[in-house]
Amino acid sequence: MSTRTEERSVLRPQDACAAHRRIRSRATGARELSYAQAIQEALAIAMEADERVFLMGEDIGVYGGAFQVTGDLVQRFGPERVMDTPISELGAAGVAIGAALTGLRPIFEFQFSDFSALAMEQIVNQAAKLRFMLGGAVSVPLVMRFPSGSGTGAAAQHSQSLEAWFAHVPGLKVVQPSTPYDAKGCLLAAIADPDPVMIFEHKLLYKMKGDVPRGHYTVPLGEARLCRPGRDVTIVATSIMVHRSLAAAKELAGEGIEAEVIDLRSLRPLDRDALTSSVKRTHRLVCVYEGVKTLGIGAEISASIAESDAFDYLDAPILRLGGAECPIPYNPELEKAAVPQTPSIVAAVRDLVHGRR
Amino acid sequence: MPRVDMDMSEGRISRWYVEEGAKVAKGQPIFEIETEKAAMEVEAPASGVIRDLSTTLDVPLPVGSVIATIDDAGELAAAAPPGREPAPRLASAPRPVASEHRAEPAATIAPHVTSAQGDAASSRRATPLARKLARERGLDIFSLAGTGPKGRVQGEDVEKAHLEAKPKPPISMFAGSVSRTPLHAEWLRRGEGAPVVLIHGFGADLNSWRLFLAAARLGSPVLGIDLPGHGGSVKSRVASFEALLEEVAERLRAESLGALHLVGHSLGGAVAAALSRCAGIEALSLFLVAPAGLGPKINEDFISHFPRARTACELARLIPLLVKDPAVLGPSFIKATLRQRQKRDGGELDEATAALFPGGTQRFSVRSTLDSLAIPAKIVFGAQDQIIPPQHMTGLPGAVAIHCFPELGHMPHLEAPARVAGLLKELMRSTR
Amino acid sequence: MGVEDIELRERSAAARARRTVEDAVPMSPATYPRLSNESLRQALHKMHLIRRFEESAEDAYMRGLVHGTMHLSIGQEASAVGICAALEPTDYMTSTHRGHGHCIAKGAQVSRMFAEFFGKEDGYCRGRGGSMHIADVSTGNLGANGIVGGGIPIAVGVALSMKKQKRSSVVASFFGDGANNEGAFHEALNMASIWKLPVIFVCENNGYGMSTSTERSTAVKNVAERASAYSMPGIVVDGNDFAAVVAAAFEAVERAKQGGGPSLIESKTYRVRGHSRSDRNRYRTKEEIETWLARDPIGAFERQLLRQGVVTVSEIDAIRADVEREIADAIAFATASPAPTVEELTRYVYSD
Ligand SMILES: Cc1ncc(C[n+]2csc(CCOP(=O)(O)OP(=O)(O)O)c2C)c(N)n1
Ligand SMILES: [Mg+2]
Repeated sequence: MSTRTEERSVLRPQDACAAHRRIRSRATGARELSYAQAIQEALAIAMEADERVFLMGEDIGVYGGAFQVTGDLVQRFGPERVMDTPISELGAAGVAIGAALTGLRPIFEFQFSDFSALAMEQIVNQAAKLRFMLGGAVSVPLVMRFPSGSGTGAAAQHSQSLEAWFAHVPGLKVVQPSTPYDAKGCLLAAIADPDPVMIFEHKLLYKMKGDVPRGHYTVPLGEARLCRPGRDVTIVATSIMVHRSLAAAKELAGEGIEAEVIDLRSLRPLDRDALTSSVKRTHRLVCVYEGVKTLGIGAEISASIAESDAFDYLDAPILRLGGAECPIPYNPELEKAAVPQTPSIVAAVRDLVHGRR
Repeated sequence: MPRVDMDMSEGRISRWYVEEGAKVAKGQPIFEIETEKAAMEVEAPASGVIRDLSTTLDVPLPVGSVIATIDDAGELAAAAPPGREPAPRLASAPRPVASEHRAEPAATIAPHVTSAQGDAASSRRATPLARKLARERGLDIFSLAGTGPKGRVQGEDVEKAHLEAKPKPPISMFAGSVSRTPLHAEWLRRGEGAPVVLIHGFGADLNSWRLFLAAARLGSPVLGIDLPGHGGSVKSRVASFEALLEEVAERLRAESLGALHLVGHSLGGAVAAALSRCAGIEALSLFLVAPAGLGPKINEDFISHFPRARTACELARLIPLLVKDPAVLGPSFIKATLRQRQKRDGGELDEATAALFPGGTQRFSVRSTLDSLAIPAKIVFGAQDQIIPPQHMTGLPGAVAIHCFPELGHMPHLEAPARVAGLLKELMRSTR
Repeated sequence: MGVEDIELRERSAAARARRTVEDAVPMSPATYPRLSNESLRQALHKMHLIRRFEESAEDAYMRGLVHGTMHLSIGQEASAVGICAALEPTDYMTSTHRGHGHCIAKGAQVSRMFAEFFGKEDGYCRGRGGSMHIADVSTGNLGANGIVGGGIPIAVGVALSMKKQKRSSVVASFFGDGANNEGAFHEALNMASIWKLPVIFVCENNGYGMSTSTERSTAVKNVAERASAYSMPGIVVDGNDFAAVVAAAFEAVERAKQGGGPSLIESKTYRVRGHSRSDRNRYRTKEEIETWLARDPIGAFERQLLRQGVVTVSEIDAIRADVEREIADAIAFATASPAPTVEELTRYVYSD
């Protein structure tokens, strides 16, 4: 395998400017991949490097996965290592946990994150707690991948953003990469991690392209990423909302509002330092996430700030923009209205900065 | 212990908002009483210093017992801006309190009910930042006008009140009519043709250009200027970027320089860029070295510690932030800087920090100036810059030439003077 | 009937397909002892309506009028209509993601179904559910389900409710072969059996759960064999043979109504379209699909009815023409229907 690098800084220069990105691409041998391809590449690298790694999931073999993430991996690694399971989420999750307990490194794909509800028992009561209950005698090096989010017209049972459920459980790690670069780096970090890591991937991101270095690299779990510096307000966003927030920030810049955008990347562990240090500079905080607003990740972020020494630096109420208080509707207009969109972010941030909130 | 309720005979202090010796302003909540029915905030009946504060919490105290006294300190009255006296808050039945002379009705206390329908005069909407700043500046939050929603006091309101309250040389934003000491400027070189105006960075002065000038060997006359609060201009204070800019513009206009070349480093770069648009300044070209004003970030560690550094040791720690190779800024630089420091009280730089770079954020932007620039411009910076992130130099209009030195830090004109000077001369030539 | 009665068929789907309905079912008036000729003509009408509804929905999908994805049951119409032929309007049903056929078979109007597909306020779910959650509570259809196996325990609960309220209604629970490996399936069958509840579990085995064949996913050869583990009758029928489905359905419904408890019917059939709109058909051969296309249940049913003299060619033509008109009217209705307003986004989450 080629070079191993660990990305340390929260600010990656290539995010700031396309020109920088191109220069960097040449230097590190990066090239454009889609988010789905980046994940597939990480899976292949891990399986190539470590024969303990194998994949489990529904229709991940010849079908290539519902979102073509595993693609043709079955041809390369065979059906023993790219295992189609029956439609048995609870049981299959348990099987993965058992394998992880005893020397293997399973990577489990839920076809849609919504179906993790069927496997909750094994994830929450078993995977998350086994190490603790056994006093550290075992570990569960399990990775689970969850295609999530709305925007595809798949309605109430195929569009949810449930990451906060999992982030509420000590013993699990929960990440939400928003770029192809992070998708690959987080997945490789998760595979190397000795504990269960849940990776939430927004379905609308799978086709998004971005620079991805060749070879093995990891993105540390638990570090937020500063995507855009700004002085007037901090927008903390997750997953696809990072892109909508960046688009909003760009629009706001035209009005003289400089928004700082932070991609949380990881819900557990939560990078509280990145948040407090940003809020201390900008004095205003907006949290943008797709999961249902109430009792979601925004509540945790807001409370973290309110409890921290950044509280004294707040010059406006903290704002949360999250999913509406309803299941995701089928009708496309309602579906859009059910989660934050760029114009709603622009409007909310503008009001906040102009002291109208 | 004031009576805050009809049938109250004793009350418990549930917490103090102030400490022994704290300065309080009339109307400021100072402690909280718990009765059977509710918790109430009690405000200071007068301004002064808290003495003999009773530290017993949650113990029933009879109404009328002394729980603290307020020493009339006199000094606080000055801190509150004139004409901003807190609206009188009336208690239906004023009770004598907090004074040895219990019978004296002079100092009265008005219970401040924290319940929902508390009247506007007795409660104050203010953001945490505003409260913090007011605390730090010794201002009474109740005396401030809030410009936020529903009259909420925001950080800016406190800063404004603070500036107004402060006795200092008057600064007029753009009028230029008020008399003040003009900024210090000095001809660093005599010569032919349109002059070059050099504007130094934060914490430096015009002397910082000498090394660069020696390497540059320019043919033109060169005028160095000391920014307000810096070098020979310490008497001027920095209130805001705009005020600073106006002072520099005024000084240059006074010289009647005609067409000129603007060169600035860091903060001076932002000033130079903004000057190119000021009335009465006829700029031929713009040469910006690691300029500020293009993005929000600035190294907070440096910006907060550099002005306060008083020893060679403290300075030496900061030098690696300025340049890639610390040898560039050797002992002579440290000595010169320290000598400068001795000449002044140092408060002016802290003030400049607060006005320009609060919390490691650049409060001003000159991006829009560059967007429709009609004169040739170059930006020179080091990719290793640790003071201003190099990313800030991106996304600029195509007409602005960008020169990035991969191996240099925040001071390319001192780290590679000949090469940077070469670029300057190239720019100046292009204007002929 | 018990496990021993399970007709063991050839493993290969293609081989199964070669057995035609005509081979399996002798033509005699005794084929449909419980259905009048009028009911049979209505059944044929419904099958055509399902087929044309799905073809038109597919067309509308391709024109961008339908959001999301959808799962077509083309090729499985005899199964849906056959089971529902044994149900009363007061009987209940839970359906699956592949539920258009069940919905129409139970009596829904295609106009309101199209309105739902177009996300309109006149849709059965007021535009909130779409294809995957299509329902018509007025005809006892408690809804398609986006969760594989999600409806099975619910059906058991409905049956429990009927029993406790001493109502005579029964519940048919449709699910696919893939669902038989969910825990919910096993837990539900067990409870239905121990409490002797009036449920008809209908496994529409179309050979695949998405890309995974039953051979690869299921330990038993026939899903009906699972019945023995829960002490209930399990029967395999040819799901493309309307008569066979109807016969099994009536028997199960009667048992349920008489307090005899649940049954499991495995209806072997085939979906000729892909799993959803994004299926590349990598897991099966063209030849296999063509073999099954030749066993189209509607064509077979028509031939059978013609042979038995239940319908004439011109009557069939009239049925087809009626269906065309119904579909055209339904699309016009759905197109004209108003869309829900964003102001009502959070309505229907709780009872008003
Ligand atoms: C709990 C759950 N797991 C997985 C899925 C994804 N999924 C939808 S349909 C399907 C295949 C179902 O197969 P089957 O039950 O045989 O029904 P068919 O599609 O063949 O009609 C799968 C895996 C789902 N909707 N719900
Ligand atoms: Mg199936």
